[in-house]
Amino acid sequence: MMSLLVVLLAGIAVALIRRRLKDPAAAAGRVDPPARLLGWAAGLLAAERHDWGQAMVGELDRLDGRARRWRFAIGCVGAALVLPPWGRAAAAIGGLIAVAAAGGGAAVYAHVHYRLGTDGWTWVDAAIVVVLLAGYLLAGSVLLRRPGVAAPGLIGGLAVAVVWLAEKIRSHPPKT
Amino acid sequence: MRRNRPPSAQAISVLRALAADPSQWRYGYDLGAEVDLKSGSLYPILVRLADRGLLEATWEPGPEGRPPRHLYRLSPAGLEFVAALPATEAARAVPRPNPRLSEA
Repeated sequence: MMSLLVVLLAGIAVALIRRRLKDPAAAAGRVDPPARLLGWAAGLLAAERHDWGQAMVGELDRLDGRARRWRFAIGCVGAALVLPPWGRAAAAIGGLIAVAAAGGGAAVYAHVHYRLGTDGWTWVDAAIVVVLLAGYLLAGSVLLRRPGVAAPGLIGGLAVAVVWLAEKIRSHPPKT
Repeated sequence: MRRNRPPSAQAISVLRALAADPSQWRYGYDLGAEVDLKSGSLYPILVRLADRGLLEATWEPGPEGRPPRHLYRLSPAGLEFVAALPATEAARAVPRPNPRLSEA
């Protein structure tokens, strides 16, 4: 399990470095985290609202000051999630969060129901589950911008999580 | 069936701010600062007003390599709508000067 976590973290680090090297704007520091956040949210808007996403991006581009940019970007993300029609954005984010919550709940249920006990490794396992679920949310939100791979990616990730959970339960039979 | 609810007090504030100089195109951030609305409230209002035909929007091309900027002003229907607002609503929604405007 620890090796899986190391591979996951290494993969994220490599992806970030590659992205920075490939994107000249990011390398020059013009695309900061608020701009990335807003770009992501704008990508989730329904097609007929695409212009409004670009309007927010254009406005953020002219704003100075880290705090002001963050406030503006976070507000726009909220707006993007509630703007009608509630198509991809609300449904996708709601679905991702529901699946992540269900995964976390299932892990807790399995632990309590099968009386797996509590020791030092329990907390390491819990931390790993949290990291995996956070990774699932992050990866899911990235995949949503690529409709061609979104469904297989999400289903594949869910299948891996289910198999991992089943294996965990199988290897820890209930104590009698 | 599409609902056409009466505009909120915040939406009326935006309409009044735009009506102060109907011929002038306004930037979203400046407009939000003037009526003290954050982006999370301002953009849904602008979208609703545009959907109802009360707002016109255009693009200002950005400098080389920068994104264009969206500009807004009242449409003729928007001007008529503001003119028809009851005096109480108009008075309630008078835009307040905001110190953030001077920072922008």
